[in-house]
Order: sequence, then C-alpha cells, then structure tokens
Amino acid sequence: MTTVAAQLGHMWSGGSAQLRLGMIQLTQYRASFAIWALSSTLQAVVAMAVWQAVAAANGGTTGGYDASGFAGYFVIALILRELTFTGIVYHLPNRVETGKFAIYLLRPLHPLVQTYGASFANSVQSLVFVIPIAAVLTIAYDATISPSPAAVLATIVVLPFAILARASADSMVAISSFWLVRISGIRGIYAMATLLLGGQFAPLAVLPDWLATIARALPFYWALGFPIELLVGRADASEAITAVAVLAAWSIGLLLVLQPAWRAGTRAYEAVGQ
Amino acid sequence: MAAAPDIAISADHASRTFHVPVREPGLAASLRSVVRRRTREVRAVEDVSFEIARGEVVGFLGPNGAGKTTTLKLLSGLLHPSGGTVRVLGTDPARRDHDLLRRISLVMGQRQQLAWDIPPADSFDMLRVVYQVERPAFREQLDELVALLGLEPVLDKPVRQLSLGERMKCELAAALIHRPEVLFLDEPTLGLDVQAQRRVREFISTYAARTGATVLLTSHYMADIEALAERVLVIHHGRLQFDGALKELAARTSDRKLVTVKFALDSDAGRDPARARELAATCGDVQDVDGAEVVVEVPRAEVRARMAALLDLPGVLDFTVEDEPIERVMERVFEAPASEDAATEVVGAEA
Repeated sequence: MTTVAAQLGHMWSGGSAQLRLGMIQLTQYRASFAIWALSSTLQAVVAMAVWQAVAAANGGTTGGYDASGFAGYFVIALILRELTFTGIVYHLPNRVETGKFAIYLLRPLHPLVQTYGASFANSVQSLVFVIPIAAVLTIAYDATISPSPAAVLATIVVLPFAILARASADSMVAISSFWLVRISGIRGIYAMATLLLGGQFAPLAVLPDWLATIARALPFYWALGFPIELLVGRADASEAITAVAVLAAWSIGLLLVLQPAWRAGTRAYEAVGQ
Repeated sequence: MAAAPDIAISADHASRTFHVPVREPGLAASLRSVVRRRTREVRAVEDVSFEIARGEVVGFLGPNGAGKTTTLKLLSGLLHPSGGTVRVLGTDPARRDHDLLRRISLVMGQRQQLAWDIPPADSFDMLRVVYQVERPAFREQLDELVALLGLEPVLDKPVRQLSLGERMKCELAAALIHRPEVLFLDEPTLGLDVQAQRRVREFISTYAARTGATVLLTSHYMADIEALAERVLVIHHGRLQFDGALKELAARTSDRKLVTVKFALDSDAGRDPARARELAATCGDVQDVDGAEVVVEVPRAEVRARMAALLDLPGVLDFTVEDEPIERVMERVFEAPASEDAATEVVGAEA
C-alpha cells in the first residue's frame, strides 16, 4: 500500500513538475499563445451563433434552449472544455512521429503522466484568456447561467472522473501512433466524434434521438455535455451518480485495455529518429 | 546467462530485427505501395554477446549503420531484443523498471532532455523531481557538474540560444543529475569543436573516476575512445567483431607497422626527397615523404629483418617503429566485407 501511495505521490509530483515546466515554456511566447487561445474560443462562438439563429428561426427556442440558453451553454462549454481537454492525442503522437518520445521512455515516470502534465499546462494557461472572454460573452449575449449549489457541487464531483475518462480514451487513440506513427486521420475522426457526441457542437437536446442514445452510452457526453447542462440548469444534480458511474466504468475498462496495449505498443515502437 | 553481481551490463546472443518498408522511387511505385506493401528484414544487431564489469569504461566502435545505436537502445530499454537477452544492473532494461531507470542514463547526440525555449536550470529542476533526487544531493551534484563543465554562464540562457557545445554540455549535465551508475553515451562529442571535444572527454573521464560509473561510449572520434577506454567492442554488420584492449585490436587486426626513417640533412637522401624515397622503398612501402623523413609500411613479422637492412642505408640518422594509427586500423576492419553467416540485410519479405 505504501508503495502504491509512494508511486501515486511520485506521479503527482512528476506530473506537477512537467506542468510547471510547460507553463514556463508557454510564457515565452505570450502573443502566440494568446492568439492560439483566442482562436480556440471561435468554435464555441460560431456554434453559439448558429444555434441562436436556429432557435430564432424556430420561433425562439430549439430543444428547450432560447438564445440566452444557448449563450449560457456555449460560454460554460468554453471553460469546461479547457478543463477536460487532455491534449494527449496531439502531444504523444507528435513525439513519436518526430522521434522525441524515446526520452520520455527513459525517465522513471510514466510517459503518459509526463505528457498529461505538459498538456495540462496548456489548459491552465488557456483559462487565463478564456475566462475573461467567457465573461464578456456572458454579458454581451445575456447568457443564462444559473446553477444551483447542488449543481455546482455535482460538477465538482464529476469533473475528476470526466478528466480521467477523457485521458483514458485519448491515450488509447494516441498510442495507435506506436504502430501507425502518423495518426492525423484517426485523430480527425476521433475529434469529430468527441465534438458531436460530447456536446461541444450542440446540446444533446437538439441531436436526433438515436445520436443522443449513442452519446449517453459513451463517456464524452458525461465528461463535458452533462457538466455544462448541470451549470446551465438543464440537468438534475441527482444524475451526477449516473455520470460518475458511466465515466468510472469507461475509465476502468479503458485503463484495463490500455495497460496491455501500452506494453505491446512500446514493444512495437522502434525509437526511430533517435 | 545469469550475470555475476559485479557485471553491470551483459548481452547474451542479443539480436534485433527491423522490418523496413521497401519502395521504388516515383509516384507509380508510391501508388503501388498503397495496395501492396513490401518490407525487408534488417538484422541490425545479431547474436551479440559481451559483459561489462562495474566501473569499466568501454568504447563501442563501428561504422555508420553497424548496430551501435541499436545496441545502446537495447541496453537502455528503448527497444526489446528480437532474440537473446540483455541485462543492466541485473535487470531486463526493456521492462523499464523505474528503479533501474533511476540508475542509468542514455545520452544520444544533442538529444532533448532540455526544453528548448527556457534556461537549462528549469529543465534540471524538473529532472530533479522526476528522478526523485533530494534537494541537497541535487544542489551538490549540480554544483559539481556546473564546475566541471563550466556551465555557470549558460544556466539562465534559453537553450535555443546556446551554442552546440554549450547545449551538449548541458545535455550531459541533465543526463547526470541523478548520478547514474551506468552511462550510455552515443556520440557525445559529435559536431563539437576540438576544444569542446577535449573538455567533454575530460569531463566523462573525471565523472567515471569520481563515481565509479560504468560507461559504454560510442564515438566516431578515435581520440575519444583512446582517451577514455582501454577496452573496446567493435561491431560491424550487426555482429561483434572484437572485444578486448584497444592495443590488442591494433595488433590483431593489423599485420603492419609504420617505420619513420630520418636521414641526415647533409646526406644525399637528406638533401633530395626523391633519393630518400628511393632508399626507403628498399625496406618497405613508402607511405609519406616529408623532407628528410620518410614513412614506410613494413609487415609486422619482418620488422626486425627490415630494420637491419634499414640501418645499412646511407645517411640514416634515426628511425621509429609504431603501430598503424588506430583510425587506419579501424578503416581496415570496416572495409572487410561481412562474412557469409553475418548477413545483415534483406531477407525479402512481403506484408
């Protein structure tokens, strides 16, 4: 037990060290990073505008959301996306492709922890830009954001499971690069799936029933769409139990597969370019 | 083969095979390869066995593509052997056991322990956490590395603004923050100027002497190997060709000696290089003529007899007998074709 605790402690401190280093690096290119962070907000702004137009065309509401409701939904999406985005699907394959991955294998800290620590630095810094933008959008579009204390508490409980489930799923996709090296095609399909089924493109309420059913069976909606709905008052806090159960089940399942897949992948890895 | 406790590194019939895509150049071949992919099997390392005792500094020699780097990757756990076994400090490195990773280090050229955009000091601190080095020990080790490598002026400069030599020294420091017991160095002086090469060599020598670390070092510069390693492993076409002392390598692989004959300046040969060449040629193959000095190559077995003949030449003032320079010895070894059973490449395979 002590060993497990020590290992977890080391993973935490090692990941934090990577996070710290990542943040130091990102501060070197403030303008570039600010532009990148701003551009990442565009997708939510565009989706918001589209769905507000659809609502207006449908007499004011669509799927139970009016213009202010959509504004609230996508403003919260902006922030929660940064918190649950892991970046592993980009960072790890990039290192495999460019030959920089070997160095991570040589360190006494799991490469996924190193990768996640570095990519989480992006999220933390993005929030510095995204939160003020979200505040401006909230005022400009009269966004409806009215979470109950229970909803806030439920969101806080769900988020760690959401991050774990996303990190597990992202890692599974990322390690395909051990065999395929270049995985931009797979990553594109995965990004589209998470965008659509995670509620980033549209709230679940406006999706066709069959698609909503698929979304509820997968972890992506529960990792992002559901916490957004909690905070805009569209989901009940009691459903957080279902969210935690689904996310935990997916995380356990994925981690069980990830372990042998990782071993097989690193065995197949040819350390090219090193 | 169970490694003895004082053995730090061992390879027992270790092999590593890669499957490399094969394709003709051009668009048509490219399109064909989409439908029908062909690969060939490349045996990068084949049946390699050796043992290195704790505290030994061993040079690893071979031409490009001989299998040196692949062997280092096998020993550091980056690659799994296709056959045979390797052990480092009694452990299978491919398991990447964290306890082992804390005790070894691999330096590959100017590779990338250091974050590019920020000063090396920040990367060193991150490595301290990752390798779980206590702060006092880290401080002590870093101070020592900074002093030995002369890093003080570069510690707070972004890595991208450092010269190649400065970067290499920082990479070395990064690789040694955790004071590894086993150090794999792949071309640590590649691309450095002569002064920087010397400084890195001196540093490696000092580090090994101070810590008792086991070092396996590849280098294209024979000066590195001569300065650091008494024992060398020579790999060629994926197979180990020689394991022993550097001097023994010269004796075993070269059947020649070089004799430098110096003629008196007031003799005919001393005044006329053509005459000097003509006289010296009676004792061996002339390799070089420089004024009154001529270098001739003589068969090792005939040195004594040739010396007697040489002393009879008119105007001879002095002579020295030496082994061939190690670079020439290596060239000779590497020019040799692969033996029949040591084919390294191309076993036509399709996938």
